[in-house]
Amino acid sequence: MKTQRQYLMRASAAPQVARLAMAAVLAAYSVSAAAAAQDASQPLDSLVADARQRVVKLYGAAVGLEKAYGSGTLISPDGQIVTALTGLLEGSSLRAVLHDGRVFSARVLKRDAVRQLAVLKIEADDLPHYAVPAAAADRPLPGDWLLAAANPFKVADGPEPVSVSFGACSGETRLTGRHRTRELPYEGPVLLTDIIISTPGSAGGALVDLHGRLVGVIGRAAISRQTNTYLNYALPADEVAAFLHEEEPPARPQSLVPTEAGAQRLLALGVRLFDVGGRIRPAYVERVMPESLAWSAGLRTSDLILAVGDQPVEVCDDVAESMAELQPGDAVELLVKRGDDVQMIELRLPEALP
Amino acid sequence: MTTARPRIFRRATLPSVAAGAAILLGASCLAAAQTPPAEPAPPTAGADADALALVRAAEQRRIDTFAAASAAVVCIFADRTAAGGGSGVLIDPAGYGLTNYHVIASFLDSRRGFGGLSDGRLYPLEVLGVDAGGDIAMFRLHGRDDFPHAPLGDANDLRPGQWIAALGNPFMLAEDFQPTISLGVVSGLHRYQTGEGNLLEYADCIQVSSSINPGNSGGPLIDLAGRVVGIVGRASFEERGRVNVGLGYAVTLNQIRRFLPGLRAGLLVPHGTLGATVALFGDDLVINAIQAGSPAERAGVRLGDVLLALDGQPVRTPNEFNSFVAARPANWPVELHVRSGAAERTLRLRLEPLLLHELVYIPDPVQNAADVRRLRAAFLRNDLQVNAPPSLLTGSLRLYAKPDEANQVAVPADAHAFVLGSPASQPATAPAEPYWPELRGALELLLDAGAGAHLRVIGGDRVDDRIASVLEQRSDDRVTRCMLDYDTGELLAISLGSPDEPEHIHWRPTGHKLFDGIRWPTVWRRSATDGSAQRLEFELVRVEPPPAAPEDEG
Repeated sequence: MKTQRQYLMRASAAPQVARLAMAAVLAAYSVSAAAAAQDASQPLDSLVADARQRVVKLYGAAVGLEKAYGSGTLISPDGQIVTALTGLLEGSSLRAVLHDGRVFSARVLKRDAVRQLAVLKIEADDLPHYAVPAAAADRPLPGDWLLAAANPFKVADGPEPVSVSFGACSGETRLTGRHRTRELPYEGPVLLTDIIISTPGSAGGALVDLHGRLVGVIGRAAISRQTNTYLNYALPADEVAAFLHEEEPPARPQSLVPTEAGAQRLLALGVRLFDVGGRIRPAYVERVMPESLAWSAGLRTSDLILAVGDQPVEVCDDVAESMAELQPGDAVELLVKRGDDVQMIELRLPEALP
Repeated sequence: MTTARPRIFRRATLPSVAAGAAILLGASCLAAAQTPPAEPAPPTAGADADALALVRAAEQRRIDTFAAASAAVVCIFADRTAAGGGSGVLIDPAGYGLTNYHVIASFLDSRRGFGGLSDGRLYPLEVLGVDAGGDIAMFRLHGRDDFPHAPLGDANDLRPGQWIAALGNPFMLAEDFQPTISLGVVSGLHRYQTGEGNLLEYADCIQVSSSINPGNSGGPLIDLAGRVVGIVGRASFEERGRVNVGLGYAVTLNQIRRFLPGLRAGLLVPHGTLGATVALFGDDLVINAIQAGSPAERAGVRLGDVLLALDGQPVRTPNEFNSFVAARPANWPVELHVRSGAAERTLRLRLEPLLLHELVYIPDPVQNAADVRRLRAAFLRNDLQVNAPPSLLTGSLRLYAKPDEANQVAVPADAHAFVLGSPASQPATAPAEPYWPELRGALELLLDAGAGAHLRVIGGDRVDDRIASVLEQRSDDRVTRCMLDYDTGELLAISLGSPDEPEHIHWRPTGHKLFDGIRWPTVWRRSATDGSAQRLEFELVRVEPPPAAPEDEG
């Protein structure tokens, strides 16, 4: 017993000892479990209890094939929540449900199209939350134990606690991934883990180390471009901190595919093109979000876009490329075919783009 | 932002990590970062020797625990090449075990299959009772009387984040029947997974991160003390197909325990329903619908009542209400605490069966009779503590109402006759004698094999906090039930009544006396549905058979 206590004290001073701190914890649990009497407090209880209070369940808009639910991590006592940038956040029905079942309406404060993160705000006080540490030097090492807390498959409902899972940090890499058919714009460092966190609804959840510190925010489901397998990854806490402290959106990296910028603009207008994959995809509109800018301008499902401004377009990629050249606040005219009629739809991009 | 720390060869991480637990390291990512070190670092450099010893000791304990548990895990196969099969766990040395209903459903017509154990042998498997609604079934392996078996635990002791292992046969990998062990943590408790209609509903289940794949179904969840706390049967699968993505679900052993009496007797045990639904109005959980003729209506529940607690547990949401009810079989007693207007009331009822019209199931009378024998033998051995000469167990314990009645009746020579009558010291307020015949009739069903020939196990019951098997004898006008502890056979209660009202009169033994080597229940509490209750005490008088008449001469 003396050895264990000594060990845990050293753990906070010397990072290399953190790995075996879990082992001591494991040993302590095994010893007490083997004893006939039930041990009332297990070493991981406080870690789990904290995580369950600091991760929220999110519900919002259903956009295409995306889920209308997800997870978020509380990062301030007054209700700032960091989460992944997904279609869930669109529309006006975004809400966060806390560990005690309280439901709050949430609004998007800030988006990061590159890191695919967003900060939400709910009106509350005194909420348990994670501090977001800034230093890259504190990233977990391969082999470090990690706890993941999120709401995959929306298993938890109302006041039910979110799901927790345990595993190891597998290492760190640069993300080269895609979400469905779209390349993800972020190619910076991510933490990898053997905890399966690429499940629907997990994005935005928390990755926590044995000391109870937030080490990452679970990223939106991504498939590796190299291996074509799902990546269990999280944005490191210092990347999250950078996002939180940035005043302006970061300069767009060179590798950003033009169609990605175009897709962002279409999303901001509330337009989804009928994109079933393959090279020849006429630019039919699959869906226009109700109450979006495109809806107000008169664009509707099944409209076929013939031209963007004075640029004729044949396929969806053409639309995206043309849109990519536009700046926030720009006006654009779309020539669309509806049934046998041809119409002009006038749109203006919002001042602030995601 | 990049950090170019050469972590891999600054210190040796792999072996000390391996000493802790099975961890999958991202091999491709490590390979990408690695350049060959000058010389391999010692495996445990930088590790504290004492802590390492703790880790290794914990690992060895884990290995030992799961080795023992593995011996009790069964690889279940159908008796023909048809689909079906999965895992199961033995809970009794005679070979009784638990699995999922859907594992054995494909061979429910023949009830015969095979079970492979880690000793490498295949044993004949027989399906006993089923709980299709809750996806549980009991089976028995034949061929040994000393099968390895796992102890049963308590899911209420589980905590999220706690280590938990699933043992079974995922992807039917185990050609040598050695079960696969997958360690994870408890991810959530009291979870709900919708069923298909009334079948396969997982209410109040355990969610785990242990890897659960097709083939794991029916296998046990084992805690670090080696106890079975649940039976694994479902997982969340999505776009990637039917492979593990880190969410598995298990029925708690606590729920299964309530179904054991019926399962052991070869019955299909239906789940119970109150016949009422609830909804949240603000913070109140309100009864918003009551079925006519339902247990809720008969107990006096009214529309608009606020439900506060079930069996003393506060209930806050419709999910909690559903989880509570769905984890209980038909006929289970439930105590409701409700608020009607300003007044709070406590109501008691028994759940009625939730019928599964899709399922045709014919209970096996042979299994039922075998379980009746088991329970009667346990009653004699454990409760009465009869170190029985065989004659006692074949039913030659006789009871008589009055000493003179015994003297007038020819007592068979091989009978042990006792009289329970009113002791002279009986308090005047509750003379026992008028009530003796009804109690005697019930006791004789347990003591006399002839009298008890028509006893059948009809299901289970809860008496205080003990699980009981219910043995019933039913005639056109009379129903007698004896509630015996499922494990020990202890007589917990007797009820008497008619087919319309089976529990009109209720007897509970509250005191015992040792008499002639037998521990008799002699003090009883008798209550009736009319509200009356008495405490009754009986005395024992041994009756000797009358001496044989002298032979006539000539």
